[in-house]
Formats: sequence, structure tokens, C-alpha cells
Amino acid sequence: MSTHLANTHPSADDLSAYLDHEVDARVLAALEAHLEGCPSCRARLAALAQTVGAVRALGPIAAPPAVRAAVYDRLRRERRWPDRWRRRLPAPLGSTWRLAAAAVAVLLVGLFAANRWQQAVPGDEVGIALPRLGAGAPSAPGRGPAVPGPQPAVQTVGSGAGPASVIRQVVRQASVTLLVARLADASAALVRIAEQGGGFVAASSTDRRRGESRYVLRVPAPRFHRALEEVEALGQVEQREVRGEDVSEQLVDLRARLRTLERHEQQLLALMDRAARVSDLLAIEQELARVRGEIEMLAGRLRVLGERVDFATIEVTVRERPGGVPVRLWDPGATLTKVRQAFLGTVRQVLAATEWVLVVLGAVTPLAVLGLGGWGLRRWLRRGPSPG
Amino acid sequence: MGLVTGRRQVRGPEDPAGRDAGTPAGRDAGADADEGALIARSQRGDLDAFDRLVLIHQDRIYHLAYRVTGSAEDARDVTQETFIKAYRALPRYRHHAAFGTWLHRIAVNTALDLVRRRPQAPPAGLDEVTLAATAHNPDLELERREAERRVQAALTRLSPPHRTIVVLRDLQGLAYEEIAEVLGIPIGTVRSRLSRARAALRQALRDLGVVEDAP
Repeated sequence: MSTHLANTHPSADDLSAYLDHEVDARVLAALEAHLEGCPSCRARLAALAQTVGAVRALGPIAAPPAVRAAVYDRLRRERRWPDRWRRRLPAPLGSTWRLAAAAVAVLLVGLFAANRWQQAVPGDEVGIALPRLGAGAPSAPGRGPAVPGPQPAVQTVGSGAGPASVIRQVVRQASVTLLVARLADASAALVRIAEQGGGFVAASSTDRRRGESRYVLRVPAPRFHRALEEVEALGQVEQREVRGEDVSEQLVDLRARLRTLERHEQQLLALMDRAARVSDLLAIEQELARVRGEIEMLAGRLRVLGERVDFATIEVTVRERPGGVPVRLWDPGATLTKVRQAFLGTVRQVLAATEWVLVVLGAVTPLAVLGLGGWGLRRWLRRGPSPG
Repeated sequence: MGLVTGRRQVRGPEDPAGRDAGTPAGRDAGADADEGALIARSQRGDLDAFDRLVLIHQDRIYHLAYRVTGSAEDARDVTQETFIKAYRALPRYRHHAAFGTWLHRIAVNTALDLVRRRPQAPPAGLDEVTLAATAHNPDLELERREAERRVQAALTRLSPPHRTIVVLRDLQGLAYEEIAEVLGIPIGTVRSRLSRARAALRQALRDLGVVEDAP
């Protein structure tokens, strides 16, 4: 604002501010002096004042009482949710129905994710295309060596021999030859892999001259694939073989024979009670000893077989990579390999993540459409019959 | 916590525009202290304390909403929404702005949102109001109401920002500084926008025959 206001006409902004008493003190005097001597500016001010006066003449309007009641009511209903909750949530989630919708959405997505995860984990079958092993079933034959089943069909071996035949009993074996950088590291890792989940190292031997170690790992059957993957991750796989041997029939056969023998034993014992002559007694005792020996043998075989089913075998031959021991300070080839592996690994992960996101989007889209529809319907219903 | 009113500066002419608009009923110095306590209690979740605050401010907020939206129904919605938003935002309210100014800010944003979503003219047309007035052998009260309808109609012709600033200044009686705070704009902008809004309003009033052209 200029100080020559006494000579120049004030702007519309100045006149407007003057009406509002919002003019600087130092300008005020000059402005009033100008108005004193300028009828046209006085007319401008009067017109402006008339305009403002028309607005100011509008009477105050009281709020209808329903407003206050409605506010109170809505806030009271909202308060049933703990305050703590709402304060943490972003504002759009504040009202109850949106909160409920969000909860449902989170639940569905969570369920879906859990499903995906469960599908992904046991899906990594390595090489055996056999029906899957029941989780608790493989331990059945190993426990209690001579427990006769309730079924009387002793002679029908192999077919219809009871529920045990339904689940395939598979002996799993793998042998892997690995090239590693350092034998000692690999050995420690192998022991760790074996002992995870209750397995053990059944045998190990080391040939320092050839820079080679052999390990026989026994891991619980359900962990077989996982353990094999972990083993193979230790180094470069040179050779790999995975076998599965179905021993279901053998087991059934053994169990049936065991039952027969046990029954025979019972009969012999009963005969012995009734034997009158010493020669008979001797003959029976001899037979009993033979039968008992055979029972022991069969039970032993059953135990061993059961154990082989329960614990899969992984034979690992670990060889030190020629020059793997750090002779040189830095091995550019190894670094390059690591870089390449890291690069490919990241690419794979990104691709996998992208796929996952796409899949999730695919799964969520129908829900989103549904939710949007519901929201629209709600809006429509709200706008329609009941105002407010 | 001095609200809006009673902040007129001492300098200047004796209010050339006539009456001082927007003085809320029943507010004095003691009420401010009470209000501080009510706000504190509301912030702790005391709904009854907040209800008292609603009682204190609802008429001013409703008036603002009514003049900006031009419809009683919208004004009711806006007022309701304003207080609900305010309650939710109350934990974040710090005392750097007067509570009334803060409420004005929420109300203005809510009202402008609504106006933007429904840009059509408000339902109460000028013509039907005129008809109703003449049909009942107009007495003074009706005449006054008719004048108000015309001014409101002129206000409605303004753009929403112009309408808002005129209402804040001339009906709610906010000082420039408070308007700047409510609208989130600098004081210089308040000055110029208000001046332009008044020019536009004068044009609208002339068009509707409320005022005659100045010589």
C-alpha cells in the first residue's frame, strides 16, 4: 500500500479491508484523508458497504435440535469399539462397518496365503513318484515287534491283510556326491542336517589323502526331501541318485508269518501242559525252541525293515574341490560363480514374488468386486429412503 | 481461546455496515474457561462434555453450513459430519487454534466437499419463494424473509470459494487472521479474495434487484 493514498484512489482491496477494520494504522489516516476529499471513492465505499450490509442483515439460523441428538447417538454407537483401536486405525477405518469389512478381507487374504504356503511346501517332490507317506504310519511296523493284529485271516498273505496294506511303506534312499570348498565346514553342516528333527549320522569315514569324506545320514522319512535339499545346497552336486523301495508287501508278509508262528507257539504250550510222556515233552520243547528262534528272527527283520522305512537314508560323499582350499588369497572364478548365483537367485525370487502378487490379485479381485458392490448398495440404500 | 467475535480492531469508522453479525448467544469470558475444561474432558472420551461443546457451537456451525450450501438438508448433514469429524480428530487437537476456528475449518472443508460433489443449484429456488410470499398477503416478516431469500440466492451465485469467504467474514464475523487459518491461505490472499468476492456479490445483488446501481 502506498503512502500517497491521499492523492491516488484506494484500490477495491483497500476499501474492502477498510470496511473490515483491517487496515494498517499508518495507511488508515491517508485513506480517510482521501475519502474526505473524494466523493467518487465515498460512493464506492457506500456501494461496498451496502453489499456487505445486505449479507450482514441475514438473520442467524439455529440448528435443528435433531443435529445434536444425531451426533451424540452416532458417537455413542461408535464408542462401543474400544477407543484404543480406532485411534490407531486410519480415519476411513474408523466406523464400525468399514472395520468389519477390513477384518473380513484380512481374514480371507490370510487364509488364502496360508493355503498357498501349504501347497508350496510339500510340493517339492524330488524324484520319487510314489504315493505320499502317511505321517504317523511308517512307525507302525517298528513298534512292538510281535503284536498280532486282531484279524484272524492268518493264511491270506499279501492280499487284504488289514489296514496296514493301504499305506505304502517305502524305504527311501539317496546318494549324493558333492564338491565343496572345505571338508570341515561340510561335515559340520551334514551333522547338523542329520540331527535336525531327530535324525542321526549312521556312519562316517574320512580319507584325508584323497580329500574325501563319506557320511550316511538317517533322517526321519517325512524330512527326507527337505534334508536332501539342504545337503545339496552345501556344494556343487556331482552325482545324485534317489531310490524308493516299496516294502509294504514284505512287511505284511513278515507280520503274517509272525502271527502264525506265535499261534503255533501257543498251541505247543497248550500241548506241553497235556503231554503225558517225557519223550513227547522233549519233542514239544524242541519244536518250541525252534519256533521261538524263528519268531525272534522275524521280529528282528520286521524291526529293521520298519526302521528303514521310518528313517530314510542319505549317503553323502563329500569331496574337496581341487584347489578349494584357499591357496590363493582370492579366487575370481568362485566369486564369479557366487555373483552369478546371487544374481539368478534374486531374479528367481523377484519372479516368484511377482507371480505370487499376481495370483493374490487374481484371488482378491472377485472379493473386491463383491465388496464394491456391497458398498455401492449400502450407499444407495442410505441415500434413498432415510435422509441422514 | 477467544473465538472470532469481539476481536474487532479499535481503529476505523463506526461499523459502516450496520450490525455486528455472528455474535454467538451466551458467550462471555467465563464460558471460555469452561470450554477449555470441556475440550479436555472430550479429549479423554467424555461424550457428555463433547455434547456440551456441540450445544455451544452448533448454531454457528449450522449457520455457516446453511449459507455455504444453501440448503437446510445439506446444512444438517454438514453440521453433523463436522462434529463427528471433530470428535474423532479431537485427540490431535492442540490449542494453537481457537476451538471455534478449528471447527470452522472442519465445517468449511466438509461443506465445500459436499458442494463440489453436488454442484447443482440448491433446491429452494427464488421463484417459488416469491410466489409463496405473495400468496399470503405479505406482511413485514414475509417481506424480510423474501429479502433474505434474494440475498441467499445472490450468495449462491458466487463461486464456492467466494461464497465461503463472504460468509466467514460478514456472517460469522471472523477476523482476517482467523479466516486465513480456517482456509489455510495467507492474509494477503484473504484481503484480495474477499474484495473480489464482494465485487461479484454486488453484481449478483444487482442482477437480482436487491440493490440499485450506484451512480
